Amino acid sequence: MAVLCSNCSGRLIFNPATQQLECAACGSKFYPEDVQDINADVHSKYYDTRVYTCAHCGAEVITSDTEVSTFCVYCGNPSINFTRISKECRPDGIVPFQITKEQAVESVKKKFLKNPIIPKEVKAKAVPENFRGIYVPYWVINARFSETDYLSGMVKNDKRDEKRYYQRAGTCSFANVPIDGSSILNDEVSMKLEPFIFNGAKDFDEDYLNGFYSNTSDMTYTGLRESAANRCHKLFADEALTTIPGKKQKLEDSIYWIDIQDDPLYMMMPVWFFTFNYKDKPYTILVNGQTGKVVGTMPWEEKRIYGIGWSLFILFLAVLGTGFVCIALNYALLSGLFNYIITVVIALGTALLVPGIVGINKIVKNLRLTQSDAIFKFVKKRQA
Amino acid sequence: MGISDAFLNEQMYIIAIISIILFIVSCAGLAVFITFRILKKYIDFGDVVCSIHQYSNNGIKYTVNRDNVLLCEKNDYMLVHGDNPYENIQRSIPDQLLKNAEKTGDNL
Repeated sequence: MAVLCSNCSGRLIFNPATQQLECAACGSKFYPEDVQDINADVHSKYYDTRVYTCAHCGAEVITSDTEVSTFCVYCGNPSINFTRISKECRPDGIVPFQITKEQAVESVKKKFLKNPIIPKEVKAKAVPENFRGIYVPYWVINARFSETDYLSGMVKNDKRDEKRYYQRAGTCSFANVPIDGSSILNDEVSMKLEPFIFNGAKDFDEDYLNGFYSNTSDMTYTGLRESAANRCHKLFADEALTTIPGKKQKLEDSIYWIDIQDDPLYMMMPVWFFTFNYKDKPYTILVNGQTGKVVGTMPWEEKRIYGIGWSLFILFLAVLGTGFVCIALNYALLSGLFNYIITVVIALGTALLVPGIVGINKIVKNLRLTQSDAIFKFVKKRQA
Repeated sequence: MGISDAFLNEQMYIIAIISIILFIVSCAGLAVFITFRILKKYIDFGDVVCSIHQYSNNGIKYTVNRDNVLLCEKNDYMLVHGDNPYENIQRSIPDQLLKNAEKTGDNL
């Protein structure tokens, strides 16, 4: 619950810049460890929280702040209501916010500067009112991991590409792997927020939550094991793929097992959520509240992108067309070199078509992931 | 016009068509790839994930490291390594996870 200032009974808010609790009324500052909430029992396994529920998407957020936001931090809808006071399990530790709201806004704005593709309407929405600080629950695990992979790659053999197969099996000891403990946040997104630096972690104290939202882990041990195994598998397989020669390396098949060591740590990690609507779709850009890393794909000005694409196409058509005509008419005394250049450009252009299409598809996929209904699985689940 | 001339004309016609297609494909390829690079630079943020070295000091200890295996060997190979080495290990589980399991009816 909210801790009040000992000098004036004003509301205390944690300020990431000073790493202190500051009184909104009299400006007094306190270190979280020095402030004692008379209602709180630090030795208890539980702590009291106020749970708010969004009437639109059903998301639950926890806050000790009585002046809760007027819109849902997940789906952006202005329909959030206080539902209950709840006792939640006390996390083992917390990584306090290091990045202030202003710094988070600046980090996002930096990406906007001199960026002609992001719509002006979206740029205008990068204001502090659209940023919310949330402590996201994570499980930090140590694990022994075994995996067996069957891989393939294309290797040159007598100037021809030949598919070759490889086997890799091994074990790996993982330490301090953060696993997103909330089924709400998409694992693919939370993974991109890493790394979190655990040297900056503190013992959990609910005073750090003042002024921020938080969430509790709704994961079971089975779910944790599954998420941890998938996370470690990705790390293992990505590394194994680097050990095989050739190009177009591919993981053909794999089996893997995990042994999570005793008592994974229950931690709260700081994340800034920048939520906005564009063309009736909600988007969420995340900022790591410790490192300032910005994660997300911005919507783009479609007309401008099509314009760039078509302009480039016409430009290359004109340049290469002129080259062709020169060759056809046997112009230019440098015809040998000229032919060579044109041939290389044509070969290059043809070879780049597939990577270009694959790359754009990936960006479109990332853009869909930035749309809130993909980031937050519960939205779809609860609306169904 | 002789047969060989007609044949030559037909060949030239096919070559011209193929050249034009190749020419358009290469122009499209260059345009698409550059558009992709522009989107990647200006739109897509933070698409970098940590590698294994972030979470493991020693990396992978390989027990099998074979190149040039045959496609038909795959199933035998997966079968040989198909036993869970951690099958009977019991671990202590934090309260929060147990509480969530009670809610969902997950008996672990």
